[in-house]
Amino acid sequence: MQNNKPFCFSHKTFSPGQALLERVLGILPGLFSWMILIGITVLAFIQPLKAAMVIIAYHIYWLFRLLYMTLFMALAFGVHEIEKGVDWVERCRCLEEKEQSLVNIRKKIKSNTKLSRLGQWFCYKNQARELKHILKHKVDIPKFDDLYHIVIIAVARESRKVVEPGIKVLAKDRFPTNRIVPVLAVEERSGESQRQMALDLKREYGSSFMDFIVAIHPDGIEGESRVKGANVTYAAKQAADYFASRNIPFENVIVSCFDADTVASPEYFMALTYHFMRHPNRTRASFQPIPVYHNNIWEAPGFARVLEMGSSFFQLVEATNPEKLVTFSSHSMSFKALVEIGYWPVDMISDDSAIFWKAYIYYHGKYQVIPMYVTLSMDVTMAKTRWKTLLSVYRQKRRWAWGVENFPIVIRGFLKDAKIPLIDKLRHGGKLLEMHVSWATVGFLIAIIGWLPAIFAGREFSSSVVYYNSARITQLIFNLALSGLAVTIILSLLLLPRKKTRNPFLKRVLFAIEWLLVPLVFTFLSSLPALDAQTRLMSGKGMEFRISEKTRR
Amino acid sequence: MLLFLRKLFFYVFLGLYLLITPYAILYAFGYLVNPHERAFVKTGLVSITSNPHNATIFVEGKKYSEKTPAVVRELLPGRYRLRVHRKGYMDWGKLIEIEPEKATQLEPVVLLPFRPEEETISHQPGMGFIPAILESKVYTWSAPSLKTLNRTDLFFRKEIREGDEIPEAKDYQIEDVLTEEGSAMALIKARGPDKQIVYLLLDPGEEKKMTEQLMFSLPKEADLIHWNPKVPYQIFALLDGDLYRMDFRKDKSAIKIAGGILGFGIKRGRLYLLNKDFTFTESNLSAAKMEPLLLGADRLGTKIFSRIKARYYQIEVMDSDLILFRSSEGALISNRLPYLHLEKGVEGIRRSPVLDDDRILFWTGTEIGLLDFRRDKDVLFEREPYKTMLFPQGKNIRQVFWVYENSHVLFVDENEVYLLEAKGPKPYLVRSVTRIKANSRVFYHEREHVLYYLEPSQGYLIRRKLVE
Repeated sequence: MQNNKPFCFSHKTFSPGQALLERVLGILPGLFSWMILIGITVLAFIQPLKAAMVIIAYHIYWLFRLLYMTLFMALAFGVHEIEKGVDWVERCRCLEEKEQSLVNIRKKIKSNTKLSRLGQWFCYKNQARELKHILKHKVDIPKFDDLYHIVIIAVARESRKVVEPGIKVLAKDRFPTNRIVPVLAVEERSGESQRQMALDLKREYGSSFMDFIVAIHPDGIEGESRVKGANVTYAAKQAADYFASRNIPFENVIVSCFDADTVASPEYFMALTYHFMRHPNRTRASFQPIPVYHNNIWEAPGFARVLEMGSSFFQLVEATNPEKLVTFSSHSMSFKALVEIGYWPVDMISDDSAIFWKAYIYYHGKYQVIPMYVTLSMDVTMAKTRWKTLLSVYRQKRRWAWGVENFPIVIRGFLKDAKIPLIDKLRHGGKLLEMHVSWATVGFLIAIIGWLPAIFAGREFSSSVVYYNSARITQLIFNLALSGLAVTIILSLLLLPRKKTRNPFLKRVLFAIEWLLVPLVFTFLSSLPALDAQTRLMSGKGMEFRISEKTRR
Repeated sequence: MLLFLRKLFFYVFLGLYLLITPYAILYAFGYLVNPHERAFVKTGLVSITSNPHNATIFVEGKKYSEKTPAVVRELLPGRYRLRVHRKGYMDWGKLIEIEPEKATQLEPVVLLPFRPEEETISHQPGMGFIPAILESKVYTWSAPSLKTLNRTDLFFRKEIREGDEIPEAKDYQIEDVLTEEGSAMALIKARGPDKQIVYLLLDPGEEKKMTEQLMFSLPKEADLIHWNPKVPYQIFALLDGDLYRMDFRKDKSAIKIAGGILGFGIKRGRLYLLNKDFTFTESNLSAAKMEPLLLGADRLGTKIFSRIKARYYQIEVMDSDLILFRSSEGALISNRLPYLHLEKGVEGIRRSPVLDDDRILFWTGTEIGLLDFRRDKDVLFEREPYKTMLFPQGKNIRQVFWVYENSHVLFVDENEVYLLEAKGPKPYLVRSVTRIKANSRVFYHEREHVLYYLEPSQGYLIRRKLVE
């Protein structure tokens, strides 16, 4: 037991003093965002010269940030491309052999024809470094054959067309499927048809796995909200009973929490097993893949495609910074840790990031997210009409931005916990606040408010040197930013899945042109929903968990 | 490895940001490092556009790297000789004062061609003309009599003698013509054989251009006439303090609709009346249901108007809430502080053709000025309008037009047409455009930037492209 009285990671169960603190902290992100937006707008009207100064500094800041992100996006993409050719089975075997493998890895890597020379060099350096670290620190490596996977797939209203591909791919995974247990977490309220679909899938694919659990989550359990976290927690508890009854220790079990539409890449579970095996504190870690939205990317409307590609790239950049990485969307973790911390929060919408913060506070800062450069593919939000898709995308982004609900709880947790180093508290707390405030403001500041001093320039301002020079500086910044966009476009084209289609070249050109929608898309489908979410949190209004529409043609 | 690179680049980028941002902000505000003094100096700049563009800029005789449109930056405060040159056009040059942190705008510099694009439209010697550009027609007359009226078809380049076909008008002598750029119609003021003043409506779109039905006479010469080509059959006239309304189609005689009137104006179907007791009212076009806008009783009306001796006022109501009163003696009053802007001598005013642009050109016989009533957005207290004297050396200024998006003024002084700058740094450059037939009038079509005038020797009608 880590703590006699663990911190309760919830909005609800705390004292009046804590409730007040929670309320005040909940106001902060929205307050900062609104203060920035209103402050600069007012300044643009009453003090356009000062506003121009602030905007120039802000534009340069974002230019550097963009270039920095582009650089690491390209590097992360390079690692992802290299790791596509890695033989993870061989790597797992090497971990078990330790000393012997250190001698042989160069030869073994050279025999891997899937890797380029650069890839071979990179893999060799990486693997050798990891093995040396394991040997030096005498890291205890679990046996590959002792490891098990639980794959919880949360299902609400999604059709079989959406759910089945992920299970189909899982049944053919390179990791021995007789040690994989898929758990279909079905909401009871979604009706008999969904229950039947889950049972049909169990009947069809059950024999391919160690077992196939269908967990029907009853509605109205006390203390729960209608959120995904409650559903997957119920399913995880059933899986815990299953493994406990078979005397399989939880430290040998890795749990992955997937959305209904998640399709893991063929190397996902082998790569995950490798990262789990090699990590010295594997039961204090989550494992974050790169989410890509390729399942229906060829059918989705342009604005949704650009937005989801942007999300993938953001996660690719985040992967290069494991110190501050937070779990997002579908991810994996030690089952032991999940059980110890008391599963996912059952009353929070942002279960994917909340689980990291819950574990981080539970283990007093000794919890980490390990990035994995392998992909999990999901659906781009798509409804039957463009307008409905637009609304659905807006709601999905607002739900993502509702991750801001973690801020007050995390800060409360930090304030209560004396064991987490102050620097880590500042680093994580600062990043959490800055990320959400930037998310809600950047689109408006760059696409709209940044132009206000010039648009509403009074006679005095329009005949000043600043009026002309700031426009020149802004133009220069935008031209440089375009180079970042060009890299993004190239990477997005490289990342796109292959598909036999008519005029593939023209389609790719069209995809590239769609990136010009970035200012509009990021303002109205990223910053606006984020501001909406923060404003709701400020006003104390909750948010309803709405499932994003995912249709396939 | 990636984590190390991340940290390394973070500090590199942070350092670059901390270095570049202050420099960029200082540069934006016009600060530059003077290598001789090793100190920051404030600079100014000049923004130049030209018509036609792509002209070469010379600053103190040195060729600037960019062609127009361009911004000449990093100029230390002081005087600079600027020249704009383009082949086939007369050079434009000016000595300008550069002030620190200020941008001097030369937008646009209009370059006049050595050989302007012009054509002779009518080969009949003319005394005057009526441009009916919207109907692709121009009317000229070679003698004051309407009988000599010629019509030139601009499309087929055909001249037709029109005067013979208007028997009613043969004995009338043309005295004045009212036209507007957006209409092909014209109201001709003529004097009949019995010396009576008549008004004739010329409608080039109609088969019968002028008929008896389209002719009107008044008991005596009116002080003021209001005619709007959008409602062409209605004329309002002010005669000895009485306001008359005439309708070419309905009435056979002028109907008095109001008395005790000092001035009037019409805007969007509303009649604005300045009464002799200095009350100011608004009503429908029948002068019924008067609504007071300014009461004489509260003494403000009296204070404003009693200082000026005037027989009558012409009232101009602008699209904004600006109302202008021009007295018979040339005083210019408005409803904006300080109310009285010019005490006497104003012979004409020309409002800006741009919507909601409250700039007014005014001219006396010898001066052209600009009254800028535009309000500043960021000031708490209303200020007086900016009054700028654009051209103080005229001899007999007769006509004034806004040109090229209100950046220039075209005017007729005696028998010569000039182009005058109305924007940018002083002194406002004035250049001669052409000479015209003695005492003739010109017509300027802003949308096409075309000037119509009678050439001085024969009186042929010329169409000349003023700017590209």
